Amino acid sequence: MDTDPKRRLFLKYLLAQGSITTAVCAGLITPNSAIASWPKKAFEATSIPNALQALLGQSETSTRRYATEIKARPHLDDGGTKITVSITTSLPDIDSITLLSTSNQTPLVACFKFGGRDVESLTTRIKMEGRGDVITIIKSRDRLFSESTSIDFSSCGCG
Amino acid sequence: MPDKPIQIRAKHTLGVTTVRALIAHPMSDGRSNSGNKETAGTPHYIQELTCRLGEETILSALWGSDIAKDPFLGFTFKGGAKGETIRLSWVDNRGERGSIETVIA
Repeated sequence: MDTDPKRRLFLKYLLAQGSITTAVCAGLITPNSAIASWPKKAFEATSIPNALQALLGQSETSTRRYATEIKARPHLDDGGTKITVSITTSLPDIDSITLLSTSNQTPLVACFKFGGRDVESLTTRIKMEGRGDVITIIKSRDRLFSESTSIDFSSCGCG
Repeated sequence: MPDKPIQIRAKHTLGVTTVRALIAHPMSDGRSNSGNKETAGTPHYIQELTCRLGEETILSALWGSDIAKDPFLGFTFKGGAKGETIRLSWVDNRGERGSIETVIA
């Protein structure tokens, strides 16, 4: 029987496509990142200095008193723990604000990078795996400024 | 989960613009201890979020799976003006995308 080579190729292509799709569906290949620039290493780091080094290329931080204020308020909801974190700062020329949590397996939570605009405050909600500190690292004029606040869930039973 | 995929509001007062957005997204870390059995085992979370004022990128955020479900983002910046457009867009670890536009009030 004559087989059309194009038809063979098409069938092979279909099979190859099918096996990839099946593998992805079965969870064998997990698309870990859809974005090439996403700093996987920083998000997978298990220590804060390693996460900062991978994310910002530096890990030495200092504190400037009264320049930054963090407010963190835990809520208890059905899906686990949710904490609203608000950061207000008077530091000039903010390049980025990084959020970390000491109680999570991988401490890096998020990094917010800003264009040339002066930013005064930032609010978001994060997950924490238990009591611990929320740390914010603000990068301003190539220096890192750190500020932290501790979260204790035991005091928020009626939250 | 909120009714709409993204809700956004931008307001300008006294030289400062406030942007507030609520995005419907599972933000699953794939670990069973997150309490949500439905999504355990398959990480699904927003990795990158961008906010533009006209053509200018004013915020680009890199997120991990420790941002809470149905993420909220609020920030204030100096500048902006009533009538200018704010555009927010996100992409998650599966390559799904979402975006919304609003006019500063």
